[in-house]
Amino acid sequence: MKRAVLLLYAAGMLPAFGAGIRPRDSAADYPAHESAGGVTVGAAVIPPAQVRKLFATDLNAGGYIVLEVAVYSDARKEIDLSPGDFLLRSTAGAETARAASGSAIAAALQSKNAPQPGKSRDVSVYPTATVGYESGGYDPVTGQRRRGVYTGVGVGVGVGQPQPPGPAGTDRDRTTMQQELEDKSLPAGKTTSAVAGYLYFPKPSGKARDVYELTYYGNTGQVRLRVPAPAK
Amino acid sequence: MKLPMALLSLVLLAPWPAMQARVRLGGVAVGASYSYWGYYSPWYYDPFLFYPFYAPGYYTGFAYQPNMGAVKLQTVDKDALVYLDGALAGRADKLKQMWLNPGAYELELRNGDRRSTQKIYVLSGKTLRVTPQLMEVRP
Repeated sequence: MKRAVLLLYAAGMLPAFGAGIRPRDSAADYPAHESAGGVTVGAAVIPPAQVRKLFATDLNAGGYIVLEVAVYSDARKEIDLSPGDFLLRSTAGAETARAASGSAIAAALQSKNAPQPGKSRDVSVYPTATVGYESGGYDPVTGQRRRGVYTGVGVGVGVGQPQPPGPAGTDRDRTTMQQELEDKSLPAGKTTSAVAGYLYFPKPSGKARDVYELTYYGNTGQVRLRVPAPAK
Repeated sequence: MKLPMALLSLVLLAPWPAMQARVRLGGVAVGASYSYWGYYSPWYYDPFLFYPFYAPGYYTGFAYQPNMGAVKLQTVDKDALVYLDGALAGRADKLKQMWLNPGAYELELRNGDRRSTQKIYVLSGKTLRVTPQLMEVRP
């Protein structure tokens, strides 16, 4: 079994990275689907409320729109997939956006919440208290032997203390977000079977109730489909 | 030459009590600490003490620490055993909320023949609500 998997990898028949998600039974199960050049593409815009449940990464706050995309190969034709082959355009606006990679999104979201260097006027005060027992030695003033409990208090003052990181603001968070987005994204690589996954696009300007136009530029041809925005 | 001699004379003529050895014992520091390991006794043997049998955090009850994320388990199967990356974390009814380090974990719930496995992604300062559905697994 392991040998078969290795051979499949060597032949480039399995996705290079990202497991993706299970494709729906047919392309017709997606709100939008279109065929061209032996390839059928199905797509659906995921509503922001559902994105919040599906992802630990806060894609809504980052200004990303998530599309569930499935690619079906007619007659088991080999397709070379890459998330970069997809472009999204809002019908209201003229700008076009390419699917963003998991690493780019994770880096952008983490840097938003990363700890900022402290302002020079920030002052931190650390009170300290000490209690102990002392034995031995002589008081240089009285000449008496010293023994007993001693106490002390003090205050430490720091200037320019860096701020703690915000939610999902550490380096480990960036790695975790990247892993999540890549695990769930549309698998890249050569395939002959149906594959599905999420694509993340910077939200195009325009009204939320727009229709989006998704274009796939594949090795077998170009597929263009109009994906309706989700109902609120 | 005069200066070193003056310093030497100062040391030799210093008062005797100051030359005595002095011991200072004690000192109390006020603060908080965290122990990764639970109670340990050299006479107690537990074959399941070490990883991967128990998940890190098992002994501390997955308590809060800075830069951790919360996982809230919402399951009706209170008797199910919870596993994180294959290591036992505890029983579902005792683990309604777990604080974990940021990262990806394989979360598994087992109750007899019924199981649920899913990958979860924990981010610091965020709360992840998980509702596992246990399904019967036939060998």
